[in-house]
Amino acid sequence: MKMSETLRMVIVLTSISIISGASLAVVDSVTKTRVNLNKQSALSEGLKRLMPKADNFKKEDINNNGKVIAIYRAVKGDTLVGWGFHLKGPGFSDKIEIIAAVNPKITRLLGIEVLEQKETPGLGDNMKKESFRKQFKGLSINRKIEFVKNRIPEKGSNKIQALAAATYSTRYLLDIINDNINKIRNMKKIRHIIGGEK
Amino acid sequence: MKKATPAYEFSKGIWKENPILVQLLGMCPTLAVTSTVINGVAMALATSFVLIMSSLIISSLRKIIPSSVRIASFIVVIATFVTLVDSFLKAYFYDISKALGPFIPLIIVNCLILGRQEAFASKNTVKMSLLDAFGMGIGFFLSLLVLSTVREILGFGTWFGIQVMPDLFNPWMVMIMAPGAFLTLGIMLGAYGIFKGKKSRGV
Repeated sequence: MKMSETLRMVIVLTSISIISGASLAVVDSVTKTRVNLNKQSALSEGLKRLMPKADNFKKEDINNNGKVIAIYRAVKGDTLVGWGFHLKGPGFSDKIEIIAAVNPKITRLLGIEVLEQKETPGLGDNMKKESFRKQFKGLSINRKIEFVKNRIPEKGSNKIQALAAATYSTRYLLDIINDNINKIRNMKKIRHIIGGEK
Repeated sequence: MKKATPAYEFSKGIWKENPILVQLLGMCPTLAVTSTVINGVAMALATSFVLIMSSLIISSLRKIIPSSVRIASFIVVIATFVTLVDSFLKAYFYDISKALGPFIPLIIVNCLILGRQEAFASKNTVKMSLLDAFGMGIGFFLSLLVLSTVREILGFGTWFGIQVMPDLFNPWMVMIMAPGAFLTLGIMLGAYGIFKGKKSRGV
């Protein structure tokens, strides 16, 4: 018996796809937990670096116009020592994901950690570097954070020095911080915890 | 054309028909991820793995797959192995996976792999196809190693992340950007051409 060519095509391609799909499902179920674990550990290491005093981070999801933002309450015993916000937003090349740590009253930044970014190698991706990130420590959230180019900003101006030749990466990073933290602070649920004062 | 001995099928990918230097295939990852040696090596290993596994499957199925759906079949097989590599890197080599980003999924459309399936694995025995894939994989690996070595040393002053240039050395920013990749590749192609030309003229 000779199978018709059409039937053979269908059978071969279907079987290849089924085998492929099945093997991918197996691999995914094996690696999934580890992948999530990696992401989770990168996050908790970042939180610990930003707020070394805290001994526990309590995760809460808050809803920002349908977008879920994960926030972490950093506590030492029963005292609140700070907050960690897991923020995402567009960058120059792809999505940028950061943790922004702030003081308990949410008025000042304690620092930032970059979790994920695909900015230009050697330029925009320098945002990962400690020398750049340390500029964020102590900046006020009551005012917008801005940047200057090619010079060190004046003290108390709430500005940072932009990454060399990566102004756009810097701008996008600042947008993520400026847009989100104020919104989170003004949420009813958060106001309730930090008290009414600014 | 030379007689197709196993030794020839294996060695041709390394020098005579090197996928980068002669066939100019797989240029996208070649140029994009070779700013550091570790990324270049990881990309070459991932690509070689996909190439070898796909050649194995395609050559063993070559009599079953009807020619009218062969390209679709190749792509499904290749995509399966690429996704496998992607999940594996995400799970066990998280940092490398982060550095290579979208370039791992893009191995699916690497012409080197599809090209070898169409030109070789679909017409030859499993043994010959495996030798061919190993040879091509090694050739790809060596080219990426040279390219990324040049770029990392000149662009960062390091090799595999270890400082190799003196402190006075001022890294050439251009080498880690796209133009550096084109310049280095162009010089490599030129050097290969000079060497090969001299040999064939018997100089």
